[in-house]
Amino acid sequence: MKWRYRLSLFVFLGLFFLIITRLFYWQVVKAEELSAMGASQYGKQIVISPERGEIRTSDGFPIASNKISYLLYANPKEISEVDKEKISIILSEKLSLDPASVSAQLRQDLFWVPIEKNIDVSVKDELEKLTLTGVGFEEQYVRFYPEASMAAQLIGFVGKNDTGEDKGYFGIEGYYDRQLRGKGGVAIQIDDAVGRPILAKMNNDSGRINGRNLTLTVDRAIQFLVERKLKKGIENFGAVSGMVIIMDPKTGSILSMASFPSFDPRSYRDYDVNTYKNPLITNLYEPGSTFKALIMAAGIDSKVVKPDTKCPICASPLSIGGYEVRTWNNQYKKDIDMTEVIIHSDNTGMVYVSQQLGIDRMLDYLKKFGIGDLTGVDLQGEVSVGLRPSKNWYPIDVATLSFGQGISVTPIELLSAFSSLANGGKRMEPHIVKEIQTPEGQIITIPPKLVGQPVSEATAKVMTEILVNAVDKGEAQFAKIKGYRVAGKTGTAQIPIAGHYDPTKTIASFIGFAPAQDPKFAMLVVIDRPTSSIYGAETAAPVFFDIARDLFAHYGIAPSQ
Amino acid sequence: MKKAVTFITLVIGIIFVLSIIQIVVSNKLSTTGIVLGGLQDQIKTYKTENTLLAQQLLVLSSYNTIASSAADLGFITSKSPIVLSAPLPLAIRP
Repeated sequence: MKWRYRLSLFVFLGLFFLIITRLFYWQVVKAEELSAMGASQYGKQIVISPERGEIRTSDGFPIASNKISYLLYANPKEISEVDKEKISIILSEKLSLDPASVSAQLRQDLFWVPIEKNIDVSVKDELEKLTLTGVGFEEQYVRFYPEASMAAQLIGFVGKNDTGEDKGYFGIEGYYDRQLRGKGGVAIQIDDAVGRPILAKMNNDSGRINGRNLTLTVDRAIQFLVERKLKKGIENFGAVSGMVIIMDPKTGSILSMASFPSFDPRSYRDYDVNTYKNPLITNLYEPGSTFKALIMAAGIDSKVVKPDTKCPICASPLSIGGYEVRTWNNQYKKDIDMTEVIIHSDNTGMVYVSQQLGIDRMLDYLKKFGIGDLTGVDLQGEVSVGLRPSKNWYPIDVATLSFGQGISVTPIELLSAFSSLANGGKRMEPHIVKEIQTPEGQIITIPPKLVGQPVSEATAKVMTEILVNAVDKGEAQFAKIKGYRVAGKTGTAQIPIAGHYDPTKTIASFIGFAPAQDPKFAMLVVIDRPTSSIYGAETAAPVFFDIARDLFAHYGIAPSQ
Repeated sequence: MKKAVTFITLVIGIIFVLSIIQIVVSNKLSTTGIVLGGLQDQIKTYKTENTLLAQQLLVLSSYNTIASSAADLGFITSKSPIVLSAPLPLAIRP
């Protein structure tokens, strides 16, 4: 009998053990999976996209913001066969889509298919009134440009990356993409038995961080007027393209950056990819006579020449290494002084300065001016070409370097170097973003950065007066504004093609700063291959002074003469 | 013994009353989901409306729009500004 009791006990113990093992399996081993299944039954997970940060001009106006648009989706499993045809026709009519492709989407055996994105709110309201079965809308944010294509190449655009997420390309959108992007989050919404949200653990919004807002140094009013004037200039002079960059020489803040042809960031796919690049930081060109200011500054700073030093070799064309160096107008003045060399843009005078400096000292000064290096501007895509070592320069190369041929620079590189003459010889790093605002409201200010002192303050003052003389008495005197002291230099650079220079096409430019006694802005205007005239004094200079006139009014600068 | 019985009875009574209260409160709370859902929908609607109005405001206050409207109204670009004050001299003899 006893054995029966023992057997029963063992059977019950065995059963208990099995039950406990099974409970352990479901409650410990499978706990996470079952918990997730339960959560999916009584609640839903909503992905919350972050809002991309705004890009604002210095007055706080957002030139790149976000707007609401809608993605239209359908649930084919909810739509009857009869309704599918009717809905395809309605949607294709309202959204100007191909009825066959809409119909194909609705015939898929899926719970969710996208039909069309970037739908405006008015179209969405219209479609909602039709109460179409199985059709819904998802709210999305898309990039929005209130000023249309203003500063397009400066801002860049927002496209998609490999995983379909928003990503900035070129310009500010590209350089500051990580700051602007933010971080997506997930929200859990718990519903009751009939699908209504309940109080406990409601909308647990975890992890979403909106992007940071950027405030630029760019002045919207200046950008607007520069783009208008540049466009007018390119049309008037029959040029292929043109660019203007304006900087505050004391801080390195970029006040305006404009170039044409450009593109519309709202529909960037419709434009040639080459228009996405900002030529002010990506295009290299031979600067021509605008470069003379830097070489002359180097000569004065190293005391090898003075403003009244007379040139002993300038009475006729110079023969160097089998080549002949001539002036632009083939006119020569015996004993021309250095001030007149700049006024008349005399190439032979500049060759004399280069001979006094020597290639080593010249290259040393150019490096201090930042030539051959990236400026460090906070934009995606900047390029630079380094300077060759001194031993690789032939005598003719040294000669042509003195008047800005045989060397390639970007416009921003040249303006950054030139601006040091407007800032007591100090070179500032150019920058576009002045403030970053976090989603919590904290402001991070980006201060101006001094990167070097290529020439002394005394040299900068002397060069300023020489350049004022160049404007007052040089080839651009007919374009200058009465009553204002503007320091500047024209440039007419030939374009190299296949080992020689094209005699009929030039890159015309004008670089300057004003008011000379206390510069508020430094500006470079480049007109590419003008056809009405090849000279900088007759094309780029008028555009420069046209813009400068409005800048004086904008800054409230009265005439000083 | 009598005290123990009284104590136990009291505890059971409290438990019973608290259970009733819990049922009543949970019942009331469960229907606030409707109100909450409604409020959330309203917030969403207003946020959307705000964003749309802000968009319109930005477009209307853009320089491109203003310049275009000004041109339609007949405004022209000022050719030369009028200077009312002369600049100060570089040095003044006291």
